[in-house]
Amino acid sequence: MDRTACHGSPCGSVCHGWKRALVLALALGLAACTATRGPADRPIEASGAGIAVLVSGEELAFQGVARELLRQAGPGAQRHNLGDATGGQAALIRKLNGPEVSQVIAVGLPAARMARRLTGKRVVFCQVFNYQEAGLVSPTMKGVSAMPPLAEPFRLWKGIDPRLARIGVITGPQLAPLVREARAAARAAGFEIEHVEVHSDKETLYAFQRLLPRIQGLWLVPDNRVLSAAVIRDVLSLAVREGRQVLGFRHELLALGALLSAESDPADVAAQALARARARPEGSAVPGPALTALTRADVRINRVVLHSLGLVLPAGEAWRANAH
Amino acid sequence: MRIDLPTLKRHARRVGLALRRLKFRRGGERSLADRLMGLLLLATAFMYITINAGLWWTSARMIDDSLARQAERWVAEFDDLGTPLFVSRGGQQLVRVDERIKNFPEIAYVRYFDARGRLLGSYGSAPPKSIATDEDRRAAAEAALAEGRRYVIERGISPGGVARVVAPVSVRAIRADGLFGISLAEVPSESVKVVGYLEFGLDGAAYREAFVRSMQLGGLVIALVFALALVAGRRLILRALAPLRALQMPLARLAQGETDVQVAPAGDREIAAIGSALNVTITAIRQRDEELRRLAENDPLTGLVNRGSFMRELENERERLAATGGHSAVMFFDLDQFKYVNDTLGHAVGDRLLMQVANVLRGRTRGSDVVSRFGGDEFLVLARDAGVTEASALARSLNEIMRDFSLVEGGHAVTVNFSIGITVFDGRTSSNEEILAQADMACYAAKTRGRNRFQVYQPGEEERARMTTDIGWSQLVKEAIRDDRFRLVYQPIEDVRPGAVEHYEVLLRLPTDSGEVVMPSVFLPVAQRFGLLAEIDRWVISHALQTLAAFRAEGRNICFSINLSAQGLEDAALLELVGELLQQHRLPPEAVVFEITEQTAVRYLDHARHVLQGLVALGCRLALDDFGKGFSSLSYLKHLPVEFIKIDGAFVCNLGDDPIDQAMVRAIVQVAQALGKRTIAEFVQDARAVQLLREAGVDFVQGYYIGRPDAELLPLPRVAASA
Repeated sequence: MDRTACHGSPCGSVCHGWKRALVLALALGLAACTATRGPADRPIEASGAGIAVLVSGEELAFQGVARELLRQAGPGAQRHNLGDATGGQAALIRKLNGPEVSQVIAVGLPAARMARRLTGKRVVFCQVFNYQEAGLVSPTMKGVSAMPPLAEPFRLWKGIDPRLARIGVITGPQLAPLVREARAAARAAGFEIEHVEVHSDKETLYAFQRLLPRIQGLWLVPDNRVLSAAVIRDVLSLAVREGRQVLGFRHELLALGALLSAESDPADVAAQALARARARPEGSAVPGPALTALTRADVRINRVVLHSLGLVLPAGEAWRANAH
Repeated sequence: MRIDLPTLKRHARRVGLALRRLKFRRGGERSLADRLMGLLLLATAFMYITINAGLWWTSARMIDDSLARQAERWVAEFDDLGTPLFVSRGGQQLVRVDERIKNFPEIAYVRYFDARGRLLGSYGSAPPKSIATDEDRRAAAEAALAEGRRYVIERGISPGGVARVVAPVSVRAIRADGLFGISLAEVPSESVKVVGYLEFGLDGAAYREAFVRSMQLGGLVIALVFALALVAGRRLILRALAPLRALQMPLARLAQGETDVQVAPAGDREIAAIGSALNVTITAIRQRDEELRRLAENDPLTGLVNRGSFMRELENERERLAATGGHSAVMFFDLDQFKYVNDTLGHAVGDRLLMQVANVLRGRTRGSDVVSRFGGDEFLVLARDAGVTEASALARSLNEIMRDFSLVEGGHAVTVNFSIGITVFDGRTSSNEEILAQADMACYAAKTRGRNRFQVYQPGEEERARMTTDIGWSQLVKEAIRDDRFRLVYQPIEDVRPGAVEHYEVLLRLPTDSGEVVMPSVFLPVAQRFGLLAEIDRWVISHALQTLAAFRAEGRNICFSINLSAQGLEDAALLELVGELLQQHRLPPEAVVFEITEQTAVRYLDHARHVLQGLVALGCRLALDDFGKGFSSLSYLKHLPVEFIKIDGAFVCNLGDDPIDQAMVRAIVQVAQALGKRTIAEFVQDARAVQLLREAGVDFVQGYYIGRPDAELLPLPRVAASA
């Protein structure tokens, strides 16, 4: 698998003299941008006081983000694991409601649900796919996208297969914004998206079977409502048999036959979450949109599927492949 | 799957018929080969049925298991095929179940229901009428889900053996944040929701039909193999039993009486041993037969042919002469003064004399001639194709030989001579009796004229008359036997001590047409000469036992003493006759006492011992009659199984006046008592004799004083007890 670390906006560099001023000006200018900044450029706050990180569980995706949050937040930041709460959730809520905590960053849906019960605290959630269904967004609670930005994975996908013209996207209901983003990213990359809305995992497989004649690939959207372990396997197995390319949402799916996978970068997630948590509040509300996007995507490619599909890595770029 | 019982029953009937066709007869004879074949058939039938039953059961199980495994696959496939029904309205036209199942006859029907039980689609043949409700199906599907099973299979619900498979149609969803922790190695936590269920019928009929066809074919093949095995088995059995069957013929011939058979040696050790033993047995039987034949046809003492054989030879010679003509001669030899030698020197010497005389006769006659010991000291020679001249020459030479003959015994030289009677006969002679009578007459004439000579029969008036008389008496005796004209009379034998048993001696009388009663002394000698004594004995025994049974049935405790002649002791059928009569009349054998004279017992000791022991074995008792009449060694008394000794009348008739007789009687009684035998005194004439006899220790008394012979058998007043 090739692993390529990409940056979504130009980097600044510090130089002596006028260059320093130029950079400063640029920095100031960039401060007004809505684009995210890479975690490596953002100066680390000196103190994490007032920040509580609430982690849903032991999953790597949560733990990785939690570690980055604590590292980037600085000393003073608290970490609470949902399952380790002594005295139960009620005690944890009392603690988080305490004066020591001003912002709560909830990692994962269970933590986010629990954080909803807090009063007078600003909560930023992350690593939650279906935040709408969970009804997490409120003035005092906003989130960071769990999905990496699609532009780069789509660009790479097109780069691997220039003939890619149409891919399928199967989601559950109420994901129109995501679909719009995907369409835009696909258009920018040079292919189209055919979207099908389904209501169960059974439908997902059925829809994919019906889409097969019209698509060259599938973006497997991490919508748990319409996915089951069996369907994920069946879809990927069917894709392999039918010679279709699949962009998966977890690197583990490469082993099942996905051509590419794109995950979010835990440092990027942490940076965006902290940025939201530290943004100047609008009263008690968390400023900004309901969800802010991530700035980086961790994309991997399955060399075996690549070759089985008759595709080759583009020349001229530093693709490092990990074969499965 | 059910076993096809009708087919099995058909096979069982066929096997039963085959068994009934085997010739098993109740009782009677069975063929070993057929028995073995029957066992082989039973074993084969048992194996055939067992194998078929096993195959049926195993195959039925395999079909059921196969269908069950197929159910797993079909559930997944029908779940997938039925998706359009659950994901979109109007999805029926997208469902391809009909196309899928048309080539699978085991799928009877497929139906899809939504979660509320509404039918979404039905494919295949009309499902059989089911007693299961929608609720039942739902419950079955949910039960399968709860147990983690993919489906529930229910056999036998519907007629025709269709297995109903119910499986839930469900949708799953990974929990909300489960995608972050998705792992290929573990199944993520998912929520499951049943959106409906599918039901289909698994009908193994097609499989069963193919299975039945295969089983029938297989059964046929197996039956054919077994049939071949039976045929081969029969051949092997017959081959294996061939050595045994080879014994059949010789044994059948042996059963027919042929003793000139031989069992061929067999290869098998066991059969060879049997064959060898059979050969030894056959040889022993043949030798025994020859011995018996010899004993039956020959005189045991001299080895000459006996009376019966001689008479047969004489009869054959008459027939031959009648056919071919010519004449032959019969010579009657009587030893002069043989009785004197017997009485003075004893029976053993007399026997040795007879044997030497027999040797002389055997040595002087031709091989074609027949030499017979006719009885006692009488010999007969049948000289074939001999006339007066030849017979006279032979007689003359024998006279001369006997003149020079002497037998030295105990320092005494014994000489005897022949008196020889010759008669020549041809085919016109009417009977053997006539020939014998003529020869006897001639012999008598020779004796009359001085003995030690021969006389050719020249019938004169006296001789003719005598001969006629003898022949007449023989005819009378025969007629009396034939027409039951003899009469039995009974003389009491009384116990000197009071007893409950009435004892009588059975005596024979011959009533004539004129009303006279002829005594045995008149007709018995003629009967003896003409060989009729054995017949008379049989007649007397038959009628006496019949009378005894009748009187015992009236409640009288009677015992009979019956006389047996020497010829009766030679009668091979006597023992069998006595046994049959005892059984027929249900007589206690101890109620019958057989009397034989001392002379007969001693002279025919070998013959007599066999018959006497036979009678004792039957339970009868024996009495030795005329004891003391002749010179006898008493040693034989130890070996004769007699219970009674009858003291000869000569010692009793003058007992009161003759002290020597008294001493003799006492001596006889002592000997008898020492040997554990009881004594009977005959010819008791008066009370004095009774007293003396009682004092001497005699047990029983008989005589005119005690009671005369009478046919009525009336109870008589006790005389001996009151004397």
